[in-house]
Amino acid sequence: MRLTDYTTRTLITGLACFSLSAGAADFAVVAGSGSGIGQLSKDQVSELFLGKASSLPGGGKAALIDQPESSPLRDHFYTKVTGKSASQARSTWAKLAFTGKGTPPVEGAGNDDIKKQLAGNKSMLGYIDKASVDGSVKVIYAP
Amino acid sequence: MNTQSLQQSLALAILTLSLAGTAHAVDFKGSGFLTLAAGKSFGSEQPDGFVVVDYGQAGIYDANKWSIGPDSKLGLQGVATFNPQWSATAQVVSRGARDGRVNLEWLYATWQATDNLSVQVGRKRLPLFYYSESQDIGLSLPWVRLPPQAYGWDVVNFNGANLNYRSKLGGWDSAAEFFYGNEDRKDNPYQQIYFGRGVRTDEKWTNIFGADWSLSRDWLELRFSAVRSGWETYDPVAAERTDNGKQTFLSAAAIVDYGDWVVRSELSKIDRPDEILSPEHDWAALFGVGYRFGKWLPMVTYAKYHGNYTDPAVADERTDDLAFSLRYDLTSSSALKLQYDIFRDHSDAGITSYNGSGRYGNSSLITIAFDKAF
Repeated sequence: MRLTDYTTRTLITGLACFSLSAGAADFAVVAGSGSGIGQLSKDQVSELFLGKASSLPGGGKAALIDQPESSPLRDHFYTKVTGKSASQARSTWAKLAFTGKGTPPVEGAGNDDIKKQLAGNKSMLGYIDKASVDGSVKVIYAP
Repeated sequence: MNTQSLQQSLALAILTLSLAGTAHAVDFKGSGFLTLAAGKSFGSEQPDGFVVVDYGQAGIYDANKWSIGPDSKLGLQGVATFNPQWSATAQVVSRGARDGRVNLEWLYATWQATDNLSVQVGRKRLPLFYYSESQDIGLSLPWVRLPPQAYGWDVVNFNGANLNYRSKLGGWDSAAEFFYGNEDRKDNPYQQIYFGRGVRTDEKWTNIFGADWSLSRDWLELRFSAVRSGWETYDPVAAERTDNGKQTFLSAAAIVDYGDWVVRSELSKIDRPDEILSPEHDWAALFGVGYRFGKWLPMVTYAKYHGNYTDPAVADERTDDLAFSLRYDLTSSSALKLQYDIFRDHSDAGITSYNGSGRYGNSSLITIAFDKAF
């Protein structure tokens, strides 16, 4: 009985930790609050971040910003939205960038830096921690 | 020569400004890529133990010892963006296969005419086959290098213009490209594989006309291309220039990323009116299958080349390569690779290979590599 209790508790704690870590990594795709970029579908975000499309649905070229390479949010975002790992996406971008077929995302320093850069570029979009969403950005896609 | 020195100064200017990060009205961005590879051939039938791994740049492992030259390279790219429509790009690559000499591989202006239509003018890679343009970008490849059987041609660049049109066709993403240009290469590295290093081997591809078309959807990408050009060579033995006539390159490729399965395949047909030997009708193919286990990508790839000469007196060339490769994604912008190649030579006796000697012979090659983009 005690053993079962202990096992159940461990399981519950484990599950809680797991959902907590998944929850902490929840993201939102955002643009600056003054941007004209409207709501995008998951497929549209995926096409932009894999370099399959370069223009915004309303016209004009999209500028993209990534989380830093070390950020777990980066891998989480690519896996969830594009179905590819951050490594696979980076490989694709290396191919496009060095063969004149696309401009890769710039790399931001983190949520605050990304929000600052989005405020300065109306055609830029990026993804940040959901908890960091504030009045300076508007959410254009949330999973 | 004037065009060349002008190109070099332009490239230097763009690169210097991009890497220095100077920003005024123009936005400069610098980036680069690196492959560090060490390999060793063994079990070769040739006394020199040589294995040609890069025909276009004359990358050759030889003498049964570890060497880092043939597959290692460092590329730097600078992009100057003047406004959303106009930009200029320069890319130089220093490679071990050419003793670290720096070559200008790309230098072009891009005009983004509309969201879907762009025009580029300048020096570029010649998109003969699926991987032709990205052959130096190790990070983008599952292997240490492109299979030499399928990518073993003499010219890899051209000066000219290309037009790209992207569109949606049903549920497919379509990218069509048309290009025209010329290439005049002094001391062609490919020809020097056969005639010897330092020997004068000029080569000219004239009036290169080509088109390629990519269609992609979900897990599948298809690409078709056709290129036709005039072909002039210089024979150092006879010390004369030969106009061989028109050559044609055709290719069809299917690229699959289905879940964790990876399939890479390409079939090429090459027709060359070789005046010195005999007209040749060549086939090349590659087929590779891999499966991703998280950061690991093991893959088995078979590539084959058949150089088929019309004149029965000229020996046919038939080589293949069975490659076992393993890629590990170290970070999202770097990878480690280990590759074991088994090269087999089924050619007729009497073909000419390295330095004018006989058959290539069977051999094996082991290579480890580190790839990075920055």
